[in-house]
Amino acid sequence: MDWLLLAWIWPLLLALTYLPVLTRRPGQSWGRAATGEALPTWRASLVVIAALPALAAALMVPVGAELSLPWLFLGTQLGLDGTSRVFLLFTAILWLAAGLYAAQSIRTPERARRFHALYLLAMAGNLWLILGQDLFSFYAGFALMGLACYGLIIHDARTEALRAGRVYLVMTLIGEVCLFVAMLLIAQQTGTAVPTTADLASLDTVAVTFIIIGLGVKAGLVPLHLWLPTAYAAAPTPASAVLGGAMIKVALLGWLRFLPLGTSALPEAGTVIAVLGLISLFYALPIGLVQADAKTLLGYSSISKMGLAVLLLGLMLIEPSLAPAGMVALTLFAAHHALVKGGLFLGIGLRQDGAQKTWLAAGVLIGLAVLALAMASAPFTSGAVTKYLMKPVIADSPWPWLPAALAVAAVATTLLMARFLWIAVMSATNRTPQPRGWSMLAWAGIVLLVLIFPFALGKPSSWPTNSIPVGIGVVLGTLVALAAWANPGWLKPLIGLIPAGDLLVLVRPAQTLALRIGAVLYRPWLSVQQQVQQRAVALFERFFGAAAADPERGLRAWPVAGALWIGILVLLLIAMLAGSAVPDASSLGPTG
Amino acid sequence: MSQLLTWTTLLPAAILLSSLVPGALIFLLREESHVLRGVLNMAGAIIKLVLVAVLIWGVFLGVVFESRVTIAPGLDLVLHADALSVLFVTLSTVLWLVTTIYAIGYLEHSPNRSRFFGFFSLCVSATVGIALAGNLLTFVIFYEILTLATYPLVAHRGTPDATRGAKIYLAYTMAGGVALLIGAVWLRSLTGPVDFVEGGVLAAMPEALHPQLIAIFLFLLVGLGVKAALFPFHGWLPQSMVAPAPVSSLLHAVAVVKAGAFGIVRVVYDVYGVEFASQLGLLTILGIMASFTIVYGSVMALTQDGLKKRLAYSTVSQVSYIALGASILGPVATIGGMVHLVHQGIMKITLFFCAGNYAETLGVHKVSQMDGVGRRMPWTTLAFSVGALGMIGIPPIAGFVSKWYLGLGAVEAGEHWVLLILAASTLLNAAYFLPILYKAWFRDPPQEWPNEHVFDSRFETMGALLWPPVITAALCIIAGLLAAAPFSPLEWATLIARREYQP
Repeated sequence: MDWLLLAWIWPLLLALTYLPVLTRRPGQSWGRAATGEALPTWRASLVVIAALPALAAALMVPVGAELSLPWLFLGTQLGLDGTSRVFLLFTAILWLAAGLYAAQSIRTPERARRFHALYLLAMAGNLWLILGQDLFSFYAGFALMGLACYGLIIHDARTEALRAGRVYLVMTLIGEVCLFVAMLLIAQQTGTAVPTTADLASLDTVAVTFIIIGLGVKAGLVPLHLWLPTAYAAAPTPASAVLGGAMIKVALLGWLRFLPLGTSALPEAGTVIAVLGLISLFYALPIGLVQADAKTLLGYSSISKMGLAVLLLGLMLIEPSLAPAGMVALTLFAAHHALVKGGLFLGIGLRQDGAQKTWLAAGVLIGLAVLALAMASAPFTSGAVTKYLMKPVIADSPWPWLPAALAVAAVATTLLMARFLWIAVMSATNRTPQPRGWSMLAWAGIVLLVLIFPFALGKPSSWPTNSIPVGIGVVLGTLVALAAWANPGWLKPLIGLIPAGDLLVLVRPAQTLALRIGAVLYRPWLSVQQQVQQRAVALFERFFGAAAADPERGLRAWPVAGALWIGILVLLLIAMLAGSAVPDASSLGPTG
Repeated sequence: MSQLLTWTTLLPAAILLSSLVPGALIFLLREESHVLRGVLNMAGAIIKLVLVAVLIWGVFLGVVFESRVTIAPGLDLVLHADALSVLFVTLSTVLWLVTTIYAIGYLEHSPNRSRFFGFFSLCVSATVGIALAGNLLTFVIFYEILTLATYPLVAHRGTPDATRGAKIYLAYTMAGGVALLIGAVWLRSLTGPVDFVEGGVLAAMPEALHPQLIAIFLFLLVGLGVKAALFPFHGWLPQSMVAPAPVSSLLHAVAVVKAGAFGIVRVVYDVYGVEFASQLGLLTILGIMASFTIVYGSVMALTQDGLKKRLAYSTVSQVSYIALGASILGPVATIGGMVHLVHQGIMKITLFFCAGNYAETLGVHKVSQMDGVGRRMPWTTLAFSVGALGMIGIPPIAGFVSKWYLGLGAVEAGEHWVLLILAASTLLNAAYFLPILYKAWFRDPPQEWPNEHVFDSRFETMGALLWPPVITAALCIIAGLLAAAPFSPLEWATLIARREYQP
């Protein structure tokens, strides 16, 4: 079988093994005992082997490979271009590493099956949309991934998780509807379901708007980010890792694939998008700084980073000549951010419940520090390399103040990461540590990849990028940390000042208001409707109801009814054969 | 040649008779002879399936099938199979087979089964008659037979509720029937016999007659709209929820509601012709009615706690997709509407089968009682989930395909407002289906079910109840996942659209 197909079919096939049993065992009753056992090891390891064909495909399938399956869905076109290959590679790595973590950590009897099954489905969706080059594959994979992920987020079934899940689901559906419209507009305006770069030049501003909104929900573009921090925090560690690492990049992939980058100049739309990106970039940083929970903080960091990506997209739409450089930068940025963010989530999970020995705990903290530095784009890290690649796009932007603004953002990001490390160090490992050998190994692999990333992919000249802002950030962060160490109460009032999900607090009053207005409008409508109905029924009963009651019952007895039917059939037949005179249809009045 | 002629003349009539004859015989059976009744039912359903398979192949190759009986000079009963009829005939035949299996299981040990299955077969025969009707007169006759044949099914249980629901059903549909008849007779008095012709027959009418034609369309629309549950003629549908589950399934997926929608499609495409209807401004009326009904039905569904009532309002909403597809000018939207005829059928029948299973096995009738039902009845709930996600339009289930073509057709025709309706409907569908799925899969089951019925079966419920929804759910996935494959509903709808729009 072709690797392109196998890579995303394989997790689906493995998910099929989670179909419920069809017949009960003798003596067992339905719906009770069946869920009593912890997940056996072979079954838990399915989430690990599920990602292997995708990894193999990313490494072995040459760029430009294609597989056409015209009978599948609405015509499926699988393929691998340079961008998808990078996405496939880091996505497979993340799902593999998180899979190892899930296989070890999520084994509880009652809910593990569900988690693993949905994990496989989400993985299949994610890989499908990367490998499918047509609109339908992208949308189908996107929907599958988005819905399955709901189950991952609410895995713990705590109240916060359920609430976070609900917000996630609502926002995701809104995103999906917008993406659906975007896909329709792309299909109509380009006239094909597999648009090439040249085809995309015909997209208008409306289509671009819907592409941005539809995927913006997944990317956490402010103000569509409401779900993101709480969902990251509520999800179990492996789910957060794939959410924050792999799934959020789907938005970036979609934008790179479907926006008319480099083919048409859309100055107005581009400006709006760039400004939206800037807002996300700066909005999330201060809110992230005051979060008490490490995973929520990482969520805000993601919002900020995706804001940077959207800023670049906007600039490329304003000035198409920037697109070739910008697209390379964004692709590498996606890889860097995915590995680092996934690593941070897994690492914080290991910090909280995995480190049995002191030296392991220390190792986890060192690894987290490395990843945090990379996230802050410190020199000689993957972050610096991607920042370096972004420089030409930023420098050629119409806004001369942009480099300075981004330097400020870099300082703030460094502070954010310092705050993250602070939380990581301070967070007590309150649970009894679990054996996490394989997870630890997988995580160490990710840290290693992040470490060699700049030396494998970046020019030496790119390594010292960002020295000054990150340096300032580190100094500031150290000062604040020392002050906080000396005087623990000093910053307390700030922490938790803005709740996770920030603008979400406004949603509840808005919801109440909408419900109340709805009720006010609905009640008179209902009463009018009931009145009309009652009148009609009363009228009907007066004519047919009462008197007919008894004969009707008689008619309903089957011999009468049956005989009547046969009689009518016979009469019809006779009428037809005899061809008796029914002079003209116009004599068939409405009474007939 | 003459033999070929005979064969092509007899096939439509034979398809009709393959359910009519067993139906008539079943009336004569004694209540206890359930083996014979089962054999008759199944034999009829299977013979019909084979005949329909022949018909599909023939129509695909372009063979003309027509049975014509002259009742009186100028009054012909015509059974004619074109691509559109085949779509509906196939749908009703396949689902009839599945529903028969389900009904045999569902009604085991309940009284009056001969009456039930007799009318059940008549109901299907009438539906097939509607599908194969080659002119307006034949259509009206079968349409009325359908009304009458369904009434005893709705009233089957004989409870006061059932009687009331059936009466409301009868009042609505008879009134609609009158409107349809007036429209049909009026039209005939203007034009002579109205044969259904792909591309329409009225385009050549003199301009002076146009106001009359508009009025006739409105009469026909009221008559058909009652069965298609277009707002404000939908009132009977939620009331007739008292019917037994197999009847509801048939009512919603195949017979009554679909007959109305099918009629609208026929009138728009094969009587008026879609371009002519558009010129007269009729499509705008239809489009507005359909759009309003789509949103209205979904909003009403949100407020229902009764599972079947929620599904009923969902039908009100979803069937209007078909009318919406007919109201947009252009082949792509036509495909969307036509294919939804099938897709809505298989998805909705799955949902109703499942609702019946919950009620029969656990006594669960309300959404609020569905906590943890997925753990007790995993396969039923899996089938339900497929149907529900399909209704929302989640790919790759069938519903997405309809929604995609409707949306694309609307954009092609420049009617972007339709996207708003589709988006609203998607979100509303999600709002009333996803909470059910959440409850079923993620909540813990209660200590005790309202009225659990233990069947002597190794499955989660009786086998005859379990397999039909599982099969139809599989069809929903296949119809979506293999939408581009030969002989999928989508391919067939494309064939229809090509024939309707050919110059």
